[in-house]
Amino acid sequence: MRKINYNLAADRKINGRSFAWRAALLVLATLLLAGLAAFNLSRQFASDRSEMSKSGMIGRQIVEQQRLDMLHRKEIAAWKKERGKQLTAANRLIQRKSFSFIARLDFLENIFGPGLRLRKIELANESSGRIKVAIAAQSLKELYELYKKLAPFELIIANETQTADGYLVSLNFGIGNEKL
Amino acid sequence: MKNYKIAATAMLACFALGASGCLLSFAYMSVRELSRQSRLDKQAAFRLQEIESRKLSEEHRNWRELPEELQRFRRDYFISMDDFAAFRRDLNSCLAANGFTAANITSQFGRSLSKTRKVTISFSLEGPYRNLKKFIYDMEQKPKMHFFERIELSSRGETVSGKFKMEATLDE
Repeated sequence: MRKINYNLAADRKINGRSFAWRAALLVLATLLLAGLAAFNLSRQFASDRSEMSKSGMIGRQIVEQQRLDMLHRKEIAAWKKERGKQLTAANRLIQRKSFSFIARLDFLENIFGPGLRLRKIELANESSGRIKVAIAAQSLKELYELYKKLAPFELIIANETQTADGYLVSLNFGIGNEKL
Repeated sequence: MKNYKIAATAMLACFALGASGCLLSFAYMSVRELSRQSRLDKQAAFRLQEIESRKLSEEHRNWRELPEELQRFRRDYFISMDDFAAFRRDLNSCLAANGFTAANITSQFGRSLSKTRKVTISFSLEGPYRNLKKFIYDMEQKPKMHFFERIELSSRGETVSGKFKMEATLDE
């Protein structure tokens, strides 16, 4: 009687060509993955190397810069003590030189309407730009219109006298350079 | 058959190794990216410090050059003792150009302070408002370090009388 062998794999024939194809694909995929890994690592190492050298350089620069900054701060503090007064005096002179009386006279000419007469003006070269004026007005209406116009300029009305001809007023207000 | 089996196992093992290597390389890159971020933060802080340092250097340079600048300022704008006569002539010609006569002009010399001397010049004028204004304008346009300290204008009918106080800074 003939023995029947059920294990078909035991004598299974392998197609060499098909195996070779599959093996080649597997090798190719392996090579691709290995290549990708090698590429990633080499790129990372290269960038690490350059950054390490750069950060080392930056570290040295930071130390040098901090030393220089400290030196500069010390010198500036000493110079401020020594030359600060001269600088303040020069700036004060420049500020006074740039004070414009003409601009203030122009302002007065523009703000005074008909019916008002300027009797006296006192202008001083001060940063507050305070102007003292004595005015004669024909009517209250014109006077109060003037007050309204001067209200934004820290207006102080010193006195107001009613006479037979109209009104006599003394007032002062400030026009700093920034308001002109 | 056995040879094929060995070859297949070896190739699969190599593939697994390649795949895990690739995955590990990506993981390594991610970890490095995180540490790179902290280095970038440090670099950004350095750049900020660099900007601050540049400003400080600029301030330092300005303070270092200040004596020369002040010297130049004095030379260009202060009136020297020799130039004071020229300034007075200039004032007189400016008055004449606007129809005023130079009378009763008093100059009061202050005490010397840091090689500078303040001179207060006082005078009164009378004339039309337009002429007075033109005179003020002309004097304000002069580049040298003199300026009006105080001006008082009073109207007297058609004419205006003005009291002027000027200040000039002399370089000694």
